[in-house]
Amino acid sequence: MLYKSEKEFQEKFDLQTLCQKNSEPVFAKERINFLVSLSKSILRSQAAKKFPDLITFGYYCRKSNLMKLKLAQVSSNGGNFRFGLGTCLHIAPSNIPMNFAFSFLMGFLSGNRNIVRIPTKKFEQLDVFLNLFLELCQTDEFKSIGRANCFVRTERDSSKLIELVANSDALVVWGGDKTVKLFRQLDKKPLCIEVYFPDRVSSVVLDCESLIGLNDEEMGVFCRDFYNDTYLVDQNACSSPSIIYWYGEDEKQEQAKQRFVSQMNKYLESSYELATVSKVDKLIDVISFCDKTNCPINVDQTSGELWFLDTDSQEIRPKLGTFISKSITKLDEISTYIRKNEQTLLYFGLDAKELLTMIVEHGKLVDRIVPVGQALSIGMHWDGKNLIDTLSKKIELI
Amino acid sequence: MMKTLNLDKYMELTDKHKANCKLYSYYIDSLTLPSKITTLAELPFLPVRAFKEFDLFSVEETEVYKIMLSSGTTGKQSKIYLDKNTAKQQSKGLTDSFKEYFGTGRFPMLIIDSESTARGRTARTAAVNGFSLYGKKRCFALNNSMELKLQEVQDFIKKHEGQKIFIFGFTFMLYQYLIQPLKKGGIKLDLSNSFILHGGGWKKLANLNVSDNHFKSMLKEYTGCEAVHNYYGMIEQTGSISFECENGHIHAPSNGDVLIRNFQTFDVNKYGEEGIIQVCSTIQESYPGHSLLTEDVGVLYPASQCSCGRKGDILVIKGRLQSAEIRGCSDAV
Repeated sequence: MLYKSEKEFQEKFDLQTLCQKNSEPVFAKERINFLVSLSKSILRSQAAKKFPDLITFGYYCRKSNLMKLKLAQVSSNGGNFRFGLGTCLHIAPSNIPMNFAFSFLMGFLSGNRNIVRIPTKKFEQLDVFLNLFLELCQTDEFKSIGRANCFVRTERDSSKLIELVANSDALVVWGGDKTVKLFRQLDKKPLCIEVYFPDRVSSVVLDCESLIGLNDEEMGVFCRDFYNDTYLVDQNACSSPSIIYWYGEDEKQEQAKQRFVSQMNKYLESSYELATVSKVDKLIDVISFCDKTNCPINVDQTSGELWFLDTDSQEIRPKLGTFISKSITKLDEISTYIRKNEQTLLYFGLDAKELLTMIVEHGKLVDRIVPVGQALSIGMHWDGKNLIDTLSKKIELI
Repeated sequence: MMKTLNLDKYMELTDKHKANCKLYSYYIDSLTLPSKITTLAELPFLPVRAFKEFDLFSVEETEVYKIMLSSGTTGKQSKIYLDKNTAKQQSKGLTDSFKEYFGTGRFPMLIIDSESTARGRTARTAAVNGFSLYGKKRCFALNNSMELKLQEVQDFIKKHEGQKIFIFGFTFMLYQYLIQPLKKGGIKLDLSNSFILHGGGWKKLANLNVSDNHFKSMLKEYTGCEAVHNYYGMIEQTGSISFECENGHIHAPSNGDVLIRNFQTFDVNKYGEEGIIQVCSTIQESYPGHSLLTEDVGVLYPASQCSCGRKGDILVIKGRLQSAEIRGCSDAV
């Protein structure tokens, strides 16, 4: 179901109707069938074609991938006795258009009834998704799924939404720290499971020697991977790096940086154009960095689309092709810059285990240590949590 | 090419604001700028939206005489801090320009808006009240439901027969609430002796497929008025307004400059090349608003292409920058 406006939500939404469907096991067959059908309609849809994020979602819900997830889930639980918690309310973020669908997917695969608050901002791919979703729910096969899973557009402070928070068995909130704070304060059922995804930051460490050693073809792959982690989403995602660490001896750092800048600019020339308004935003960001740090911020604008900042501030979070640049000769130095809400540490030319050891040694934990190119890969785990496990419960049988 | 008579003043203002507005100086010091500024193109600019996000002023707080707010029924408002001197300079600048185009004296003023607008807090309020300086015996043509008060308007015209009436309104208001009802009722006013000043942008009319020419010809048909002048200005630079001359060209003001920058590189464009509008003004002493990058799109032509003799470049407004599409995760699974 879709409730297009606050008014519609207030007048027509009925929790009891939704609750006619019981919780189900994780990865229930009917649910997988539904997602596979949804995947097919997305991948067949002409309207969906121009939205890579929607297409990615379509691919993610292919049968083979879902079965793979199921297998991983079942084997980690030593059996299949996990069930949804009941009614799961999702508050989706407005900075990433398709995030709502991912949140829904996790709640759905976990066996819950789902209510998803979608962004009020208009995203075309969101509408395309909803049309396909609703169309599928018209079929006899999936009517009951349609009744137990709905999408709503409401005001943040909607009385009905607040009431719903109080009656949900699980609450998933994506958003800035402000949103998180707001929802944390609301009344909930004593057993309600709350999952919050507040603002996070990420960084990338590049081994300069490895970067210099790449041949042209490998360098092209690297640029594509780096692009996918950053420019593709204008670094809007929490897992997009805002700091680049150049790791190596001094002269190697310079060499690597030069190569990176020239190759990356070449790559961007053919595949990237920042809207003028966003270019203005980039300048506004500089002012806000100055405001936050109370000093000039030293922006190196000489590297084309790549802007480098030299700052020790932990408060600023560059995006839109701006990076804090740090030269390090020892990996340990990273630990001094790791911020309190650091999420992903991306790496290139280095060993993940070595990075993990270093981080653990300094008592600074991140949620993910993943290679360049994987910043935005979605899976059952996010912010260090297995979402399927979190949104379901295991029935113990002895 | 472009006149740079004002450049010295702009540089003086940049220095002044750097010395007195901390955040502005941090911003300027953060950028990669040429070591010495020799052309207008090199003059640093501030994105106009900065006034929505930050409190920027270059005077002691006790010197702040008035804070002007931009339209803001939705979203954030610009806050413009004026001291007495800047406020005075602004109204002098506006008066000088107004006189240059429309002559001295105060004119009976017919406002194509409602009285409640004048008491509000929108851009329309600011414009109506700002231009009221040059009017007298204001008559609001619309009631609070935005209906044309035809009888009152006709009485007003009759009362001022033979006098030049100053008709002011937002472009779409004139179209929607003056032209449309007159057209519908088959009524023609006699304002042939008067002049119309309108602003606020073409977006709504462009959406209705109404061109400038069509707009003017309708005004002529239903009001008899042929002196129709558009203007381009903003609350962040009141006092340096670009007016449309008698030949239908909008000229940069004499106390300011207009530049067009490339959409991608922000380099200054040549004449005839569409880009993002930058406006400069010599009178912003109390806040760093002397060189602003707007979010409007336009094209510049040399003043010599117009026979009116004004020195300011000709500006053709093309609308606003398109808002950016948020790039979402296209996750490589």
